[in-house]
Amino acid sequence: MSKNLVIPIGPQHPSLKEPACFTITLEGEKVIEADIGIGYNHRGIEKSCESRNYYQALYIIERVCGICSHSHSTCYLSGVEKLAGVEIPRRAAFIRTIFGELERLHSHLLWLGVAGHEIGFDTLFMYTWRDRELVLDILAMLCGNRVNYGINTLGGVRRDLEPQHIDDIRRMCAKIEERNNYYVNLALSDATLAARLSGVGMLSKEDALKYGAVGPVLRASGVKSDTRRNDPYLIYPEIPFDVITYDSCDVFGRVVVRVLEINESIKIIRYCLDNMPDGDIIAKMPRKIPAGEVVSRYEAPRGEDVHFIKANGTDIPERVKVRAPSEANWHSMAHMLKGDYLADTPIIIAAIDPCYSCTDRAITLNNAAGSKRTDWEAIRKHGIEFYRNKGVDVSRILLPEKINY
Amino acid sequence: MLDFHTLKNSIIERFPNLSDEYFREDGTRLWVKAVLPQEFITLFDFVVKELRFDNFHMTVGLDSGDYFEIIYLLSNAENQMLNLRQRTVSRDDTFAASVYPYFENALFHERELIDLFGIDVQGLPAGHRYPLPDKWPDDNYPLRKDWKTEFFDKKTLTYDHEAAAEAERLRLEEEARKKAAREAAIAAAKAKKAQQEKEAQANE
Repeated sequence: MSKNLVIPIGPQHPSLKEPACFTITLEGEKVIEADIGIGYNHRGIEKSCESRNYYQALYIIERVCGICSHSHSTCYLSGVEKLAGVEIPRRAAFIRTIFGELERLHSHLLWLGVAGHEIGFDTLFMYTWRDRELVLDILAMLCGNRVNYGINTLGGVRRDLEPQHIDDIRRMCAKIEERNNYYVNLALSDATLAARLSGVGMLSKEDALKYGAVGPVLRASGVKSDTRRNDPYLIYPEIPFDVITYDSCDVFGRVVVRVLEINESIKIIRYCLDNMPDGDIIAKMPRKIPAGEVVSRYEAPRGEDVHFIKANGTDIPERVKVRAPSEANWHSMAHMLKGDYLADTPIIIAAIDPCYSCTDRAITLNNAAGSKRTDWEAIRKHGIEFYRNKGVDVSRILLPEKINY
Repeated sequence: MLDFHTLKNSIIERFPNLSDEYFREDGTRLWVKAVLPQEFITLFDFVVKELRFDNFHMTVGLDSGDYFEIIYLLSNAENQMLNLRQRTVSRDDTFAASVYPYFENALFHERELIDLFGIDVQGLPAGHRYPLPDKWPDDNYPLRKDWKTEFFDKKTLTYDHEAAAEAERLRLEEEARKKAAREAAIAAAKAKKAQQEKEAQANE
């Protein structure tokens, strides 16, 4: 007599990077039922927005997600600006678009690394995370932060792009494009990757639509849907780019869609740099926003982001509601898990790219007298000294020469 | 692509009590005013099945003072958005119909309405609550406008109703005092103006 086995994965589990509880019911090695428990990370952001003015709420909204922070703030702002009847300067729209696409670049590279890690392909993880640093360095150069950029403000953006920045972005784009062509080639021709991911986490076109999947998950099921085309915002109506789809309906398709989207993002960034107009970067905004309701949509790296804002005529919003893309994908994920093997669970969960919290790294902006700055050499010296005191000498281990990529 | 005028007319044809003023157009979005649960579910069925607005985005709960409202954001294949609304009878009678039979992905959204607004959404399958913790006290609905974070003790998970009532009383008193002061100032200004006019007339 067979007995079904119930395995709880999470809320605290070594292979999960965020608290969520997946209760998996197994028959042998196959998953027959998957129940998702979320809400461990509910921070009451919507309530806290109701007691702060529009500027303060912007900074809270930016912290909904560590990786797609620009998506959330732009989505929120396009709603507020519409209610106020303010059109942002064209140059500001270009800068917002560039940041949006840089964010998509680093988010997709991050995901590719996580996916590689989940299937035991850690070389890919190391490669893509190394390349992601190039994008993060550009973001840090442009706005001072690697994540939570703080570039957006009501009526425009806070910092302008300088000519030397544009050269740096172009160089970064060329490098990422070269690297990404290698990943595209890898995704489309590597036999091991195809064997591991084909047929895993199946989600048919009908099911994807039925369960309301969004973003690369939906597009990998063969549905040509992208908010940048469906409900264009900023300057997307004029930008030529392709909406990438793939109809294998499995995790393999989600890899292909994401790597090809990286190339599209590079195309969009180049278009923006080539056609960037001169002019102001910020328009004047009223402090009090006229009463009204608005829904704004934005294509975040993980899919469609929807914000609802209700204004009551004061400087404090009446209601702000956020639907992050991962929230829309939970349901299709529960469906994908059914019928697959337990060993495929980690990659299927990772395949929707659930939002992991990304921590900020401190960077030294001004090395004023008295501030202490530790570099790699000093850390290594400290490490050698530390182990020598314990009776172990590691100083003879040679380090590889520093690689400049 | 349907134009909103035809769309509006086809809805009004089926639901004659929804007059033209129930609708508001805003670019590619059409907003419909709130209706009560019984009528809402037939309207929802019509919009989803016959008008083919079969893409569900999210629900938004609203505390409208005397009652609660729920907005349902739907879109069709042509990317037009139709935003329907359901309202509860009152603040105490919070019954609302579920759209789970139409969209399974509405599950978490509707559970959120139950937890955060205390709306009695009927028709959801059994399961754990979302998003509040299991030990969250009853009758505490954080997104209601009369629930203030400062009166909730995060350690003991208790809401200080007395302090909240006292603060509300003080707020009303302050408001009344300000209103009275404002009215007094207006009356004084009027009296002064009348006096000046009188003096001007006397001088003439």
